[in-house]
Amino acid sequence: MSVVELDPLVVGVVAAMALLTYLTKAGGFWLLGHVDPSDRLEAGLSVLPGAIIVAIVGPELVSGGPTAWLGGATVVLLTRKTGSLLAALVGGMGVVVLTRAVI
Amino acid sequence: MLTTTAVVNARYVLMGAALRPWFARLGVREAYGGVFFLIDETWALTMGELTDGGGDGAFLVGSGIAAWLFWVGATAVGANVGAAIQDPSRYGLDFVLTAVFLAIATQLWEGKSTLLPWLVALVVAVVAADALPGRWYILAGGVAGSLVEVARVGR
Repeated sequence: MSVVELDPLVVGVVAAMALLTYLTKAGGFWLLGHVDPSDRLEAGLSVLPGAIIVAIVGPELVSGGPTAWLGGATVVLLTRKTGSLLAALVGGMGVVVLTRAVI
Repeated sequence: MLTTTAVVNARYVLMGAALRPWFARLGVREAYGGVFFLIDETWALTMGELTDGGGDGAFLVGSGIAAWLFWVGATAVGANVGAAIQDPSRYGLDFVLTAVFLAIATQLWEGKSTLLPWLVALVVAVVAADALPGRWYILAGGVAGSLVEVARVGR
């Protein structure tokens, strides 16, 4: 690998992106420290993690087709039965690979 | 480019907000140092851990450092031998992230009361993924699901 010339502008942009990223991470956290959370807000926050995860996974599952649905069902089932993330992961990937080979 | 960064990372605002109840006990330095290590995957793992009653926010930092090490290491490996794996989907590797998030969602499931907010989050996210650019759909779905719960409690 050759040594890459570092353009100050490129370094600056990357640094600004890093700073901005940190600000978004700390921002939500900071905001909630400065308002008094009501019951309603707390109820909203309690479902927020699950809602975000569903929002991340949902579109991917929908566009993933039957292989992803079968694999996804396997993951959910194994998680419920074994409680092990690793078992669910391996099982889900196995089902995806198998169904892809069949279809 | 900076706008893109802001858009891509807007979802972190929500994730940081969700962490607040557990980080409230920490000092300012620990808390704001901790959120530096926040990324999608470790956030999700941490939330699973915290709701399980673990109550240990250090999980976020520990998993964050581990993930970062693997990330950099795996990027180096990928750059050198990545060409050898012509199609990652053959090994189901493209499914890993979906699987991890699904497993965590399963752990976060709290029965019937979770159904409505999640359903709304799902529908909004799926529609928004088509209609909006980038990763806005994550923010849209998360906020929508959360608002359902706010409205339900408010009644």
